[in-house]
Amino acid sequence: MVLLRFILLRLLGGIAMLLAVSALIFFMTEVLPGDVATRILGRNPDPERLAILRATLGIDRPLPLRYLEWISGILQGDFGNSLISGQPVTETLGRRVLNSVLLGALALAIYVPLAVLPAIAQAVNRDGPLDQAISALSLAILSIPDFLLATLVLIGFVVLLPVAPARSIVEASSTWGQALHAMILPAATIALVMATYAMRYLRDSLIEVLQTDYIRMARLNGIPQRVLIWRHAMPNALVPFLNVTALNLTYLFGGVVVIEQVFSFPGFGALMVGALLQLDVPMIQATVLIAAAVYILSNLAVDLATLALNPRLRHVG
Amino acid sequence: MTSETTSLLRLDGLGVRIGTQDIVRDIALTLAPGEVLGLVGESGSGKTTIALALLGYRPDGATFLGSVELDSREVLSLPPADLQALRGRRIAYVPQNPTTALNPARRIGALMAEQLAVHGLASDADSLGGALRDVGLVDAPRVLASFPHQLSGGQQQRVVLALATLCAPDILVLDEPTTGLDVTTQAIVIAHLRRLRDERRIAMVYVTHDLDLLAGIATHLAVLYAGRMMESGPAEQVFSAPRHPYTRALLAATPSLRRPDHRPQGLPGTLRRDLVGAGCPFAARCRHALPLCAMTLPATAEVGPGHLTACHVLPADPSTDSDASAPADPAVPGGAPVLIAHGLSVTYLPGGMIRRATPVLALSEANLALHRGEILAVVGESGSGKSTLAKAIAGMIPGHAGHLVLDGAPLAPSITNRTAEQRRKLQFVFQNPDASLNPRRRVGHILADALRAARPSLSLAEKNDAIAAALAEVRLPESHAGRYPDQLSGGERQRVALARALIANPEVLICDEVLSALDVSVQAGILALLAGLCRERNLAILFISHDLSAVRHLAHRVVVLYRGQTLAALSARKLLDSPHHPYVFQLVSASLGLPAKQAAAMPPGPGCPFAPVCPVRVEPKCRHRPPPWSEGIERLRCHHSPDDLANLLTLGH
Ligand SMILES: Nc1ncnc2c1ncn2[C@@H]1O[C@H](COP(=O)(O)OP(=O)(O)OP(=O)(O)O)[C@@H](O)[C@H]1O
Ligand code: SF4
Ligand code: SF4
Ligand SMILES: [Mg+2]
Repeated sequence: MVLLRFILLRLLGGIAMLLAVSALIFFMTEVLPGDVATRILGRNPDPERLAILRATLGIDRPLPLRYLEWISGILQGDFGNSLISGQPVTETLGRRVLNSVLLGALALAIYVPLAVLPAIAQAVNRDGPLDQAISALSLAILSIPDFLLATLVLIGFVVLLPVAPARSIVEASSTWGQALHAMILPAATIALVMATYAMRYLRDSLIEVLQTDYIRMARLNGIPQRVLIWRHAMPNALVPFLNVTALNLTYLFGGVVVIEQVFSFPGFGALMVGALLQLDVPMIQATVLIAAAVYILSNLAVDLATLALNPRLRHVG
Repeated sequence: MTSETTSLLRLDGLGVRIGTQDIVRDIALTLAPGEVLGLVGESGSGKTTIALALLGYRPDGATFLGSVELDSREVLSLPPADLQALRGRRIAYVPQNPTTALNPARRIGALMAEQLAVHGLASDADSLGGALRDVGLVDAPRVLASFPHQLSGGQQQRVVLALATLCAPDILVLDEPTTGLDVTTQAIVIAHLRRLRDERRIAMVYVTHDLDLLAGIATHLAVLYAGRMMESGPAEQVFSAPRHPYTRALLAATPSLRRPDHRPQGLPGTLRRDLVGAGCPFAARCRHALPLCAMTLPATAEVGPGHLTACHVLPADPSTDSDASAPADPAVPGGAPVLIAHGLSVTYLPGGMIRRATPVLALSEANLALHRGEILAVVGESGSGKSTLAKAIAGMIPGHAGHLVLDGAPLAPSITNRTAEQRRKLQFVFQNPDASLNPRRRVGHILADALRAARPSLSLAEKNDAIAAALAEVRLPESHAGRYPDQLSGGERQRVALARALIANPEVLICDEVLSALDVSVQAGILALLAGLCRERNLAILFISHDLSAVRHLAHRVVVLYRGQTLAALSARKLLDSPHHPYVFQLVSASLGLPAKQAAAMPPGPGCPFAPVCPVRVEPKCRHRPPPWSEGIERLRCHHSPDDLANLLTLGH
């Protein structure tokens, strides 16, 4: 029951935080120099037309009122219309979010083994040649800027060794296989970037755990290495890894603009950046709010996973 | 420790080396079913390292030397798969700290089931519950469903124990398994271990620093110091007759419920591996250490059946060691004293060309009683009257006051007035063997002369036998009978002098500074000889010496002289531990190399002779009134009470 209450509290906390973020986004975008009407009509607009536009857009009414209207709209799936295209934000957004979720899921699926397996190899052969080689490699990857890395992958697997399409376009009509094929390169690149970070954390915490008394005890009880690593050491070593993963998840969802760009992937990141550049306020509000929600949810997920791994926390509640 | 056929585990020359440092070295042990080997030593002595090596566990970066055989199979070189099969199944480990030994992320039940599974054994709730109930965890279902943090430390330790015994191993290696447990839990665990030992005949290696605890469970003991074996053998033997100074020091330092009268005596210093050189590792802290000790490693010798120890000195009789924990005080043998001196005073009248006004009171009212089988030491600085006392007893100072009694009969002051039998019973060995042995007579003749004087009735053959026996007794080869004294070493000459005294078959032996002319490495041999004679022949020895450490480990009781006056009469083991007389305190400090005040060259007044230099004297009482004797077995002469002195002398003086 303690556990249930904890989850509930965290959920409520998450919702409260999301509300706070939404208010922040709303008021910040609304107090940007000049309002929407001025932005539409350009510099030195005719005051009369401005007033009419304001009335049409409803922005002559008090802010809090408009915020409440905005929120209730969102709750019904309505983020308003894009200032640029005039299309409902939800329509444009839905497709892109789905793309990004698919890409993220694929990247995550690659990321976990890509981080975990080398980390185990390193920890088990601590300070050995393999450990050092992997460390050097991961350091090299970390020092390459994302766009360069993506370009290198692109050159490698599209130009030199053409196994993947150059443009990772996923249409509504694409089959699962086509979609997978299209997304494999950007997903792998994202996974690589995230894994190099996480791997280093995991290696260190694994090494630490492997030195504990209980691992030595298990070893002295004749527990085979495989069981020792996966069942005895991993659960204890994963916590820092999960925390890095939470950060990674946010990056994965919103911060992969560069990679999306290189692979011409119609994802969520590109949309958010476009909206910001064009000051498409409803779009900005929607994308930032969604990014915040992803952040909050992934943290909640990590907390729950940590809880699952660490019974001590679970019982202290 | 056990015969080869029955031994389960056999260590031979086991060493663990990290870099150039030997964490442990040259460990040889055996273990048979039902035996519990207590592995003791201070922190850092290498106990855990050995315990782990028994399971083939090598610390990072370490190399193994020697061998560990389990069922005649070399453990140290087993491939990983075989080691895994062995660990937990044939030989299991119970670690030092239960709170860190259990995986915080795993339930007890899962751990236990897995333990059985990896060794190919079936598990069911009953067998798991049974294993827990065995160690006194009655609420088995709850424990099985628990994570470690939901259990108390004692419960955790018992879970660890249950886990270790789950696959019915033949050998259990326990590293401080009860440290940190409350006494009740400790008792449960020990009782369980005893059951395992007696019912299942599980052999155990029990690592601990707590000797008292081992008394309740160990069948054998092995004492480690700085990675080396100091002493090992059957527990009974080692407990009742510890031979190694370190073992004794450990025993003395162990508070014991079994020995309520035992007052723990701290072992000074700590184990410092950086102070361990090429010689005996314990040398830096050993009270008996000779210069030799720091240079060469003592060989391991068998001092009893299965009882091994490595020490150059091997202080002979545990009871002579002040650290010994023998229950009663063996320093006071029963029966009537063989030699009594009562009110013995000697005044030298300064002679020569210029007559001095004042006679010198060299010995004032000395009293002593010497029993058979007792070694009574007389200590004091140069000029305190030690040799005067010896000479008076020897009958070389006819004019002494007071009286002497030997074996119940009065002893005339002058040797010329003593009977032949009395002269035989009372023999002497003096400081300088060169002066007392006629350089122009062969050793055999010297002994024959002595024999003729003491036992004139012997036949020639008997005489020759007696001479051979006397030489053997002082560990000299028979061939030495043909040598002249100058063909012998100093130690050998002193042995000849000793043989000459012994050949008379005396009751009392007076030894006046017999060590001081000798090399320190030879001293140990003479000391061992004297201790052996005292024990085997029931000889009474008056041992005069200024060497406190020799006295401390040889003598039973000590008389302290200062300027002819007796200031203290103590048991030898109290000498260094509670030197609660100001002068004894100074004497001990001096022997430890601390500066001591020299007695002022001023005539002793009517009061305490030590008053001129005493740091705690009471003016004017000390100068004018002779100090009284205190009551009890340990007797002091001082105007302060022993209790006051204890306080005064520990508070910075
Ligand atoms: N891996 C290692 N590297 C270097 N030195 C070590 C290592 N393991 C142990 N030592 C040293 O070896 C000595 C023996 O250590 P060990 O743990 O066997 O002692 P112990 O007798 O079990 O002590 P305690 O009673 O404190 O448990 C110590 O001086 C320790 O510092
Ligand atoms: S007497 Fe010498 S050899 Fe014996 S324990 Fe002491 S130092 Fe070591
Ligand atoms: S009696 Fe007084 S002077 Fe003499 S030793 Fe004791 S304290 Fe010192
Ligand atoms: Mg230890």
